[in-house]
Amino acid sequence: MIAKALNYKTFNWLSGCALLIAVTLSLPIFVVSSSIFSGFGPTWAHLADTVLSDYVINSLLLLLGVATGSLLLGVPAAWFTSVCQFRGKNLLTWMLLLPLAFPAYIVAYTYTGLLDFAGPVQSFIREVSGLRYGEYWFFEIRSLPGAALMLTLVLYPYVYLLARAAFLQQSTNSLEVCRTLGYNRWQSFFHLSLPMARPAIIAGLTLALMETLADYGTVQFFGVSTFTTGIFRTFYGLGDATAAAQLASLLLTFVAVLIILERYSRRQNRYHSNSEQRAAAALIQLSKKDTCYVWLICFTPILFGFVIPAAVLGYWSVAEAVFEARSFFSLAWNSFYLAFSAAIIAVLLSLLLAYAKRLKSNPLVISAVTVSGLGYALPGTIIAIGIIIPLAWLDHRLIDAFDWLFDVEVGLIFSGSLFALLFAYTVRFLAVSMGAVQTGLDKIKPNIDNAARSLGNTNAKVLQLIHIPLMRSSLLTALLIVFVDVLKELPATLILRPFNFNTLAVHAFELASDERLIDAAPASLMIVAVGLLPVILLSRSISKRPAISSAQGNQKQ
Amino acid sequence: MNAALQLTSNNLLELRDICVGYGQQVVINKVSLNIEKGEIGCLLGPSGCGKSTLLRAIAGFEPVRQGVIQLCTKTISETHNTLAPEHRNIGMVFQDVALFPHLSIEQNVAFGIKKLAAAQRKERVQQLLHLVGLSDSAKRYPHELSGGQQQRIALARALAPKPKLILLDEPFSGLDAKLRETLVPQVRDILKQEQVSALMVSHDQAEAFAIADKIAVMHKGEIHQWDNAYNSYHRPATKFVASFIGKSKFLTATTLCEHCIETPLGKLESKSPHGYTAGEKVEVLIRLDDVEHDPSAPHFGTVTQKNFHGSYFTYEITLADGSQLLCSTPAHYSFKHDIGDQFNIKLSMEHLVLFTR
Repeated sequence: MIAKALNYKTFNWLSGCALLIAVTLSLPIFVVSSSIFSGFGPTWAHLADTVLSDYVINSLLLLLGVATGSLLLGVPAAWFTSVCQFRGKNLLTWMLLLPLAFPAYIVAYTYTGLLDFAGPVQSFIREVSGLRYGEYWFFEIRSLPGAALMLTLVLYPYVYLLARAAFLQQSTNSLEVCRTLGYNRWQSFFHLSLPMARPAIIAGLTLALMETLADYGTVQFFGVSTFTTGIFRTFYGLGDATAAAQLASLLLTFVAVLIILERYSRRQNRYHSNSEQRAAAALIQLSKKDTCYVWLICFTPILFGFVIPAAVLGYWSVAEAVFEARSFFSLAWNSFYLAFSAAIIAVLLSLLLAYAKRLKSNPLVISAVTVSGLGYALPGTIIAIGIIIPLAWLDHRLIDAFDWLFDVEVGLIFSGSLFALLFAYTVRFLAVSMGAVQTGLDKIKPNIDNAARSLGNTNAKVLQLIHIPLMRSSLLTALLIVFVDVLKELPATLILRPFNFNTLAVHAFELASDERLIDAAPASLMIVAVGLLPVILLSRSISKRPAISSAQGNQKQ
Repeated sequence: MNAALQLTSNNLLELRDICVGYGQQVVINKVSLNIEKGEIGCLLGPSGCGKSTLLRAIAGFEPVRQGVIQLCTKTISETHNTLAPEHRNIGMVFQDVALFPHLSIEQNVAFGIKKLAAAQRKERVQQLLHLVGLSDSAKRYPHELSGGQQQRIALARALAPKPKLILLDEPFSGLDAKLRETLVPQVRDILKQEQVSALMVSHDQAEAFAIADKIAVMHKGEIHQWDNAYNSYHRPATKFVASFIGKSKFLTATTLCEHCIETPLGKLESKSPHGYTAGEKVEVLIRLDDVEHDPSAPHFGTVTQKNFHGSYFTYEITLADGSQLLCSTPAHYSFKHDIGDQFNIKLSMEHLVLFTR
């Protein structure tokens, strides 16, 4: 449509690029899903007989636990911060997002350090009560419920964010109609607000559940057998890439169900959101007593999801960890340039795709853009397996070819280098940067281009004078988000990193696996500190929204 | 005593000297109003005059600072005491319709009568859908209906619990002019059939005239006149009412006797006494339809604006002393004037509406 408005006939190479990107980026998903046709070997039979049912059951239980937890934490917090007025509301509103800065595995390491047998909490209990090991009951953090709890603590913000947006969008008129029809505030919440927000809540929940399925660090550390740990074990332990890919394709069906669920609820959401004008939002003024309760409810997830783990990590890093500055900085540098290169690649490709969609909008290009973004739903493990198999194949063919042609020994050119990692990151995080770039570009209406052209500027001039200045902040946002996501990424990095190449996340993981939880603290803290940046961006954008709606209210007044 | 009792029992809704405000700002200042059983009232005024706030105070969404609101002689709002909206038995219809998007039409209408037994509920829903002429749409969803249909469903939903009073907040202003013309009389018929009292907010005079038995003209938080449409037009209580309702201008004048005044366009006489003593400085209201084009008339002005409305023209005419008048002529009228032309006029008025200068 925009393409038609802009009336560009040239730029055919753009659609070609878009198609090429889509094909390349969908390679992993293609490899993994085609593995089911390559026949089921003895490893698969072995898996099916022994552990497969565990994987399925544990994954389902984990999903159930995280779903329940994030709904219980996210929805009430969203409701209180969107329809009530109380002291410190704005503070709570953005602080509720803070746990997003934590990767689940880092929270898991922190709580294990705190709560396991040797940790300060149990030591304190023993000291005070004089009981010894086995004589008292204590919550075993390294368990499936523990893993569900850890994941809930960092994933509930997805539900919170989308539910809050939905509650804010709901027309106050609908709620007032509900009141005039004889429902009090609580009844109208359960009979109207909640059902109306349901599609948004489900969308948030599916995002949280996709992250749950993708998690490797937490479940591996807690010894919970799920799909992701199973894929690792099959790949490394049993050395069977095909069976690993087949497991991955089973996981893929889980993800597909979630995607369908999410798409479906989004489709419904179109009708459920009231885009009509909002009357001056009549917020519920809470009494002092109620304010205390609300703070108790809303601050609990912040306390356990951010304040405690951050404080503990900080204390460990400063006071207790063995800190080797040289190796730490080399790790930080590795992480930095890897994440930065991935971010640059992702943003450049996003720009290409976004312009292809804008200038050559046909069904082929549009579906190419959609396909390129699918990777975000894929767990890193699936992507890694889907990349290592074809790249290893290609590398071995290359080695043979070079050997035969030039009699030279070349190493693993693709699968053994950073290329594989960057490829995986691009597949996984392109959708993130696409989102930011696309919103930036969508803001530039076609008539702005036309106006600039009519004032005597060429296409290149329009790009330089209009688009780049207007899109600068969106591009920076895209860079930042991909950068942080790559920094936090664990499973794909573990599988695809070149020999002896370590990043902060991998380092933290390895130290934690060796039970050196305290020494893992500096690297973890660094990841969390960088992870805070996009959270700050996000919280700034959501705290702007109420200001706008109240301004509209005043106008209507 | 008896007469007073009679009055209160007839009054369904009674507002006595109520004040409403946000923070420092006083939005409604000492407003009194009463609506009788089965009567349709309209709050008419420019945007920002406080009419929506008054409606929200009656619905129970805004507390009153002073004064009393009574519904069927029961106090529902007074200072520091506001009955919750859900206990008032007052229905409300909004401009943006506010149908519940996740519920079907049937479920929307049934939303307020969940306490009824299933069979009764079904019957009431069917009865209402029939009343608003949308029986076929029971199973459909709000987004599948047109704007006018949605507004009728919103009305049916508000009527379902048989409220004593229906409040309508600019219910037609989201609709296009053609649709409004057909929907307004429909809504009036529905309200009259259900024998429910109603109070509507509007900024559109034609809409108010078409639907309301009585109109309250509001300005800056005060009611200037609470009367039927005919009187609001022909006997405006204040200068604001006179200028807000209908197209009109004012001429400076001096009273000569009980019936007559002297204007720049000569002497005018009214059939009934105008209520001012001789020699007072006044302004006289001149409606668009009081001014006639007459080529033989001694008085004239210059055309300063001309608008074509299809079947007629309106002219703005500036007199020698700088005061202005409005006049309309049929489109197929043999005399055509352009801007700057001389335009001879005469005034023909039955009674005079005067305001102190």
